[in-house]
Amino acid sequence: MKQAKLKVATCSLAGCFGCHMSFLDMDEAIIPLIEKIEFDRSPLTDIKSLSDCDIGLIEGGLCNEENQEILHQFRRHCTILVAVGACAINGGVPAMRNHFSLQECLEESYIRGLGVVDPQIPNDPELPRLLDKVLPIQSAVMVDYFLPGCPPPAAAFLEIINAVLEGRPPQLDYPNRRFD
Amino acid sequence: MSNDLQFSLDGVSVCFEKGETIMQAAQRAGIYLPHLCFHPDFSAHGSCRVCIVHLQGKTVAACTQPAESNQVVQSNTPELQKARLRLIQLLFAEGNHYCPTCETSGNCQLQALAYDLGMTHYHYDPFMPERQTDGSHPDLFIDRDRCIQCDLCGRASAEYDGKAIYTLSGRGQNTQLVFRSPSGLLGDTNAGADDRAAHICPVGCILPKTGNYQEPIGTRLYDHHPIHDIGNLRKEERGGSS
Amino acid sequence: MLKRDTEWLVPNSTFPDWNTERAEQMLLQQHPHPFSPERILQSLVLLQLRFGAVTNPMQEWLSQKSGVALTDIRALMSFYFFLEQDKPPRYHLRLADNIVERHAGLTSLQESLTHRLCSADCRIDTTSCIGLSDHPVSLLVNGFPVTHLGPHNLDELCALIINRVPLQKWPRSWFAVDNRVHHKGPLTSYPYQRGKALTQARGMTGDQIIDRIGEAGLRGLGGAGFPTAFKWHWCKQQAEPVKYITCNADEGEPGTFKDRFYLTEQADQMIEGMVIAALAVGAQAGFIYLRGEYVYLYTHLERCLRRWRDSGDLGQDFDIELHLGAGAYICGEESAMLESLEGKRGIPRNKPPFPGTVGLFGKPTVVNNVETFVCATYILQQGSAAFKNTGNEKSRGSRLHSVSGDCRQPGLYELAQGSSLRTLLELSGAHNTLCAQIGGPSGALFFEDQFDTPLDFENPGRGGSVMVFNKDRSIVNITRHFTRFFRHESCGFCTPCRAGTVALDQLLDQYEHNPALQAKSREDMQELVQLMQHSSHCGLGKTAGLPVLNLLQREPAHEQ
Ligand SMILES: Cc1cc2nc3c(=O)[nH]c(=O)nc-3n(C[C@H](O)[C@H](O)[C@H](O)COP(=O)(O)O)c2cc1C
Ligand code: SF4
Ligand code: SF4
Ligand code: SF4
Ligand code: SF4
Repeated sequence: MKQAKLKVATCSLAGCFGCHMSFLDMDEAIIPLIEKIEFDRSPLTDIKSLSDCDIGLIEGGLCNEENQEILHQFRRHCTILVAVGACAINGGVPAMRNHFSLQECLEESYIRGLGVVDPQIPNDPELPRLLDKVLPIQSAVMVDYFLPGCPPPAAAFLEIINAVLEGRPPQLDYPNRRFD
Repeated sequence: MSNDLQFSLDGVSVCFEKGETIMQAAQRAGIYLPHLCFHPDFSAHGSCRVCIVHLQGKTVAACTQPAESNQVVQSNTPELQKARLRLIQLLFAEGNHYCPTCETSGNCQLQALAYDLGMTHYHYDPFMPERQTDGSHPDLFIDRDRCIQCDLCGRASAEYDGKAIYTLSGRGQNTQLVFRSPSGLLGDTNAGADDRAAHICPVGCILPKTGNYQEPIGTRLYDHHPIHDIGNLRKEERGGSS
Repeated sequence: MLKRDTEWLVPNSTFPDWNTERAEQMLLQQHPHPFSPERILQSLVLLQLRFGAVTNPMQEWLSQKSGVALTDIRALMSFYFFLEQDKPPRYHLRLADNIVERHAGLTSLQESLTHRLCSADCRIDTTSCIGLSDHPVSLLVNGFPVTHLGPHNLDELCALIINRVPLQKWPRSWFAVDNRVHHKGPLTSYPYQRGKALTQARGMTGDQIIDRIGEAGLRGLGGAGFPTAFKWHWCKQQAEPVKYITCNADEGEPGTFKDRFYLTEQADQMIEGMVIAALAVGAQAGFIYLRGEYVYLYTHLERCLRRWRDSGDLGQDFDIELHLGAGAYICGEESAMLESLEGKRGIPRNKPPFPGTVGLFGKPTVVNNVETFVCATYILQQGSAAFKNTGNEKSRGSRLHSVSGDCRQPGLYELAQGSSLRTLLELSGAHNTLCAQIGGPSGALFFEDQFDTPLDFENPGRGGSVMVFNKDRSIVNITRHFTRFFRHESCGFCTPCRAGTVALDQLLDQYEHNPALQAKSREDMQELVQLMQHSSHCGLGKTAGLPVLNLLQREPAHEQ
């Protein structure tokens, strides 16, 4: 009998999509994988609404209120939530702004920065409000597994999915445990 | 007679000389005990606590605990490895470690211990301290975000270079690396790029200003070799061991 | 000229201008070698007291005179929170921030002070417990204690400050510290005769003195309860001819103020005890390490010492030096205290070696608490049996308990070792009691089912200080307060405490405010506290997590 496919959702919060690219970087390994998983909401599928999933892969940390909302949505809908990449795990490169106040960052980007024309800080009410500090996702929700790396190697993605399929905790071997 | 001078470490009998610590004896015997603030050439500090071992019901730091005859010492236990993992995670959480951007990544002892102990994340919320950099020196750059307060630079500077330039100041979570010059800047000391102190940092806090980011990923110290195999090496110490 | 007179060491609201002659003269009056590196911390403290701050030029001058690098002077300034480099305001109010003061309304008092004095020449902040929890809310004004601040006298205080009334003209009653002992025992009522114990001791060998102390069963009253005779014996045995006696008067454990009583009322007994110890082990010099919060007792103690010196009773070749701390709880840890006495940051040393082998300036050193020396004098005067016959098998004698918090009569109570907590609660008029913290934040929290626990060395907390909490108090708040205390006081040397106290504080916040992570933070805290207990370098980190453990053991039984 054919096993039900594993439902996987992914999203990029305060990240660069590099982690997503790395996921796709698994070459021909992706072909058998597609037999076993199907994607729900994900930038890879462009499905915008989230239904109940087996795994949620979160790239990026929290830098604004929209990020927070999406993260909580993922937590509610995903049995297993995985923090993917340095940004989700510790804030990563975006968290380097934590050295400065939010105001300083905005002024540097939109007012004093190099090559700024028509200097003004965007204030459209549609824009999600920025958080004071960029936070890792584990400071807001329970996270089941962490895939370190910037980005994590494709093999690490494969391992996490295989582990869930086999119902065991993931085992990242030495070359797949890396922070850069 | 000299047979009396031995103790058991994880079931292996280790000889020691009078006055040696557990760490020193273990190193001579070629047994790796995880550590960060210890270096065989300098006095022991005992601050990182990564070298904690069980000694007859107590937990002690191997780098400061004198070896004694017939001691029974345990180091490689799941419980202690877990404790070390947590200590490493605390060190990550209390600084600002952005490995992807760090020159030392791949050669860093803190990171290497994290890899070796199976660390995937910080476990604790990052403290996000605000720490100052110092670029005043012509050849050296200081990024305090990565300092783990181990005082190795201080000891190397005082005990080896005879300069006593680097030291620690402040209290509690505000402890920080400082330099002995009236301005407090490294550039106003007689620090040299060839000083031992400038090359002793186990992490990426004291860096040369030139020649950085040249080692391709995959060729760095700890890319393929766990720290328990090759020891707490520095780039320029390849082939040696500490 | 060495006169050690500090007629200027009184509550001041104006400080003289600093100049090098004035500074040097003042320092030389206190010590013949004020610029030797090991005196540097004391010189900083004295400059701070005399001129209200140690500004940059003063630091540079001291650096030049002493040869101590400016960076090291700054390192001291950054470690000892009472040293300040900014020009002082006319009034610097440091409100004591112990949980007892919080319960007595500290937060709202601080808010209204800050609000009402915003344009006055004054600075308002908080400091850890100042040893006056029986007089809440208490504060230090320019270093001197003002007691019983409350809504009833807030207007008056603000008026004094706004009208720039000099501190010397403030009502004397504002500075009153009540050292009444509400329940007396042998130590607080025996007919002490100055020098009698010492005369006894002079007729004995060192070993005989130590035997006397040993027969009495005296154990240290500074916290650990280590047998005093053993400590003295160990020190005496060392071949090194130079030895020191040090008296730990740092009394930093929040809620503890029994040493305040002895330093005020029984300084002679304490000094006599130190001389006896010196005779016993063969020591050449003694040091008293007085916490900066007790600077108001400095002159009193100097006078007592002078009387001993002048009468020749200190002995031909023994003298005692009085040192001041400057706002660092960790300096009560014995090896950190020795570092501080040597003029350094108070970072605890590696042990072994213990102070008895390698102590102050590398010499064998006895470290004892104030009350321990007081007891030694008692034992030599009244006999070992008198001491031994009080208390119980493993904890002999009696001791003074500091009682504060939710009771009718906070203050000092002398009880035989082994008396129950219940007795003490009844004597002090505690009512509607939820629980009591024994032995300070690093001690133990007892709930009603534990009120019959004997207060002695064999039980958690070991007695000495009791903070009483009634049923309106929140255990989470108490725990958070204690956890922050340790975070604030961690010396920063070792990972588990420097970073662990911060992580613990964060986790506690998460536990309280993020229901989604409550179970996880609970588990994490439990694990972290264990890690800190096992891997910390000194007692501070080892005990810093105990309040959290107490909380977790009781939750959810006591908090909804
Ligand atoms: C963090 C810490 C703070 C301490 N503070 C004090 C103190 O304020 N006063 C004191 O007498 N002992 C204090 N102690 C205990 C001392 O280290 C030491 O055990 C004691 O002074 C020895 O004297 P005793 O044998 O007479 O008790 C402290 C210990 C620690 C770990
Ligand atoms: S972890 Fe690296 S690759 Fe992934 S989103 Fe962050 S910056 Fe991009
Ligand atoms: S010092 Fe080590 S752990 Fe820190 S950022 Fe650099 S590589 Fe990472
Ligand atoms: S700069 Fe490096 S060597 Fe110096 S204390 Fe910091 S981590 Fe240690
Ligand atoms: S346990 Fe805390 S106070 Fe003690 S040495 Fe470590 S950091 Fe300092």
